Amino acid sequence: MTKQILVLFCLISLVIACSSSESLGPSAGTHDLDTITIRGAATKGPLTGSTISIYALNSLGSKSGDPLGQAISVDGIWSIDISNPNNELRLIEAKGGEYIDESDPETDINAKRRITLGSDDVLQSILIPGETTAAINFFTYTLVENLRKEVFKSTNLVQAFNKVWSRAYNTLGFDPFTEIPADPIEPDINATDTEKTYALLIGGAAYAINNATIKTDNTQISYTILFAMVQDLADCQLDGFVDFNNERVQIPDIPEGLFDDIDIQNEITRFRNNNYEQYINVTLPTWDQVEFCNADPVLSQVVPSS
Amino acid sequence: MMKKYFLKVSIAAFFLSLIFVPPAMANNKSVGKLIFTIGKVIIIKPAGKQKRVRRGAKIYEGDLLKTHKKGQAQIKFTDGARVSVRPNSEFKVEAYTYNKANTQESKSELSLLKGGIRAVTGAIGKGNKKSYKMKAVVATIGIRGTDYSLMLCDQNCGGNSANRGLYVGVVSGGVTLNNDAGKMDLAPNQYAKVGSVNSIPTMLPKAPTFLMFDKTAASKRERSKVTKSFARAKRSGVKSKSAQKSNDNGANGSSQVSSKPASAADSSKSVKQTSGNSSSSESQTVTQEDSQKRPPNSQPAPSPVNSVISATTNRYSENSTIEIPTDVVSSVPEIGGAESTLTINNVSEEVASNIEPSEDVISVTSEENEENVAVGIDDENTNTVGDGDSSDNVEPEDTSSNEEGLTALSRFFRFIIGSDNTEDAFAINESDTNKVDGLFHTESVNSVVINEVEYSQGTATLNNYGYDPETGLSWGRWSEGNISKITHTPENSSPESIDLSNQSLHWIMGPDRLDNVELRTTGTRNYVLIGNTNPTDNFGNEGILGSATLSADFENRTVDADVKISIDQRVWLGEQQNIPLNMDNGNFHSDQMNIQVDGGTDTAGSLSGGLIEGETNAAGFTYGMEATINGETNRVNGAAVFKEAP
Repeated sequence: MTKQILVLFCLISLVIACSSSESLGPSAGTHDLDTITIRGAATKGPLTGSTISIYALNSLGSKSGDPLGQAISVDGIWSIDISNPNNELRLIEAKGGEYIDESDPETDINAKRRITLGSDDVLQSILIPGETTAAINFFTYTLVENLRKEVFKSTNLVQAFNKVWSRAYNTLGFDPFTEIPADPIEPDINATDTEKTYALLIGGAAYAINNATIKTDNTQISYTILFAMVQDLADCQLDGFVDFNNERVQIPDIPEGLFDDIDIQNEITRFRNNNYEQYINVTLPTWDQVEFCNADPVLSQVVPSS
Repeated sequence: MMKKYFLKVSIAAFFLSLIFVPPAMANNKSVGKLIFTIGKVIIIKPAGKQKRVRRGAKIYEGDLLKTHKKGQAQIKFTDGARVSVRPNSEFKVEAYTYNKANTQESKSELSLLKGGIRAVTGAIGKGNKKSYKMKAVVATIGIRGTDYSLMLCDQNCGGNSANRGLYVGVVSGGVTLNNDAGKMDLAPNQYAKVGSVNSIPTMLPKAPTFLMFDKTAASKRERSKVTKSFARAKRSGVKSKSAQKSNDNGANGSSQVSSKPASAADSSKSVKQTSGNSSSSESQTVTQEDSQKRPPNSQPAPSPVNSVISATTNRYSENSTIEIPTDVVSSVPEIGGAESTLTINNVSEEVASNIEPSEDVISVTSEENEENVAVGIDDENTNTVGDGDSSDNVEPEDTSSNEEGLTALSRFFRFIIGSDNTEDAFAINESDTNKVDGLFHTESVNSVVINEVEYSQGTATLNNYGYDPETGLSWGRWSEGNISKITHTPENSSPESIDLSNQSLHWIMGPDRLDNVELRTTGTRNYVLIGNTNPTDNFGNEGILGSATLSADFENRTVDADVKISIDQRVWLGEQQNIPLNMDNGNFHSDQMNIQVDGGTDTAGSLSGGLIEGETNAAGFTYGMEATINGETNRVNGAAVFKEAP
């Protein structure tokens, strides 16, 4: 049960990867090719029936037009061919699907607890030009929402994204869009420190969502709460309020809205401690709220120009 | 006439034999004793005779102490030195002489033949360092006022033959490694490996995982500057006779067994004692008048400051509180259980005299005459009433001046078992644990002992193992399989298997607990949750802990706590405000926790924990909640760990 939400994150921390196993830097890429095949895999499976789509982004940071490519994940594996790649940012979306709660002690895989996402339940991320891998999880979705807020203050999507991207990099010390997190519960022994650090971040978020779920007297992981927390953190502070004003983040059927006493850093620490043996000597990610809220960040990450 | 002649000759011969005692016999007095054992520990005499020993057994020159796979032991030598012997080890006292008046005439020659030890030197090492030697097959260890660990690795260190050799780590002071290849000095927090008697020791960047070493605790001890005598604060034991209390306290089973504050002025209290091997039937009352008959060479009594030890057992309703002096708090476990009794061992007479008699206090042994009362000490070789051993008169060195880590040899430990919510807290001996690089090995908690009650992991699985490097706290949950609960009595050991297929034992451990807990007396402190076990119920379900909070009000001496979890499709909230906080030891307990299950409130629960003062202030509690749902009793247990909020 505890791992349920973690499994959710793991399963929807999707990887879009080309046949090359290496992640390419922002300046490199295959964007001059007419067609590339993107192969993806869930970082932990099996994830079945989730629709993975790649879209163009409009100037407001929302998906635009029909999917450029689409696939249904089967046991966590999928591949998408997209045509005419160029130097534009793309939106990646995972919608719906079913996964098995691997924390269920039931030995018969067919009898294991299954959790089904609603058909409109999505998580999103950004495919950066030149990059061939992308992660999709709670934090990438938060960053996409953060991008949309930034776009309101900027006329240029790429400039807005550069800010969001750089803030995230400066805050975390790694690129959350391209870095693939390790399995939070059972990180591969060969996983890099960065991959494990990213996993700690996801694990901490899972604890925070568990906390919020139970605070609202729910026993089942709720997408509405997850979505509310994405909205909350999208303003760079997990404080229960929208955009630094006194408006509570709303949750359907929860009149009081999202709670304001959940500390993401404490939850990251708790997750690390509760899984200490898996994370010995791994850098504990610090959620530097000041940096993540930095209105004028050092642009450490810049989308390559076309 | 002939008869008289032979009688005279016999008497003369007898007295001559007393005068001309062979040297070997003259040295035949104990050089120390076991102050702690777990599992199977045997002593092999020079002549080859073996016998299994337990706490209280005396150690003599030439003795080879052998611990089995799950055995551990701690020896306290007469000069105050201590050696903790790890499992599967062999340790020998080659030669030992201690002259308290002149340490230059003293010597301590010890050998580690197999396995590992941790050693803290005593008066000999302090006063005459050259006379202290520890041999360890491939090297000899000389010391400079030291707390250090050794591990001889063969196949016992991860099964890797490349690990073979002697590993050394220093907590405080320093050691000098000597072998045929040369010498090397090691300072605190330095580690080295000696591959063979001919190889030069090599420095290691950090402690290998198999080397018992606790630099965090050691540094805290050094910082604490606690100078109290370990001899007075040494291991003691408490058990509560909760079943008896339950009967004595009406239908609700709640009881408060408390003594009055043991202030110096309040000296009229008495303590119920037992003698010999009697468990409880033969008792006597020792009054203050009795306690004043202290031998002239006994240690000065500690300041009689009160502490509260509480034991909560059996479905929240039984709670006993026994006030005892602070100086035994660190080593007095809090223990409860339907079948348990209360024993307080090895306290000074004045301490004992300040414990108010009650039906819960089954026995108390005092430090000065523990050999004569020997309650709870099971050793066929020693501790019988008036055994006449001259070594009984050898008083241990007062280690009050030894600040090298002798005072904090106990750990905060608390656990709860799900079946009946038996909730215990107790201190465990440092030698119980193998703490390396801030991490307890999982095997370190596969067996814990509360006086004569030993809990072993058995076939149970360790789940939810967690650790916080900042506070040094660790926690976990035994579940599935069976654990073993063995109650050792002077007569026998009675094992009891506890089925964990539908329940768990949740525990929180350490770090080293300071003897003197100095809580603030003003203001408040908030804590943040830094770790937890997954809550479990008596149907085998495992849930999620969503949140838990803890805050302390030092001025009003209370804590507020709550915990909110989900399990088996229900949300449970347990909360309690104004839980009394014991300012002497930081403990708190409530068996009146308010419980809500999906909004219902006709339930009850308990919560028991402690504040742990240190460089980073920490805290932990276990909780038990009970509710009747659809006609069935549901019990939920768990553990939560905190640190001070920034």
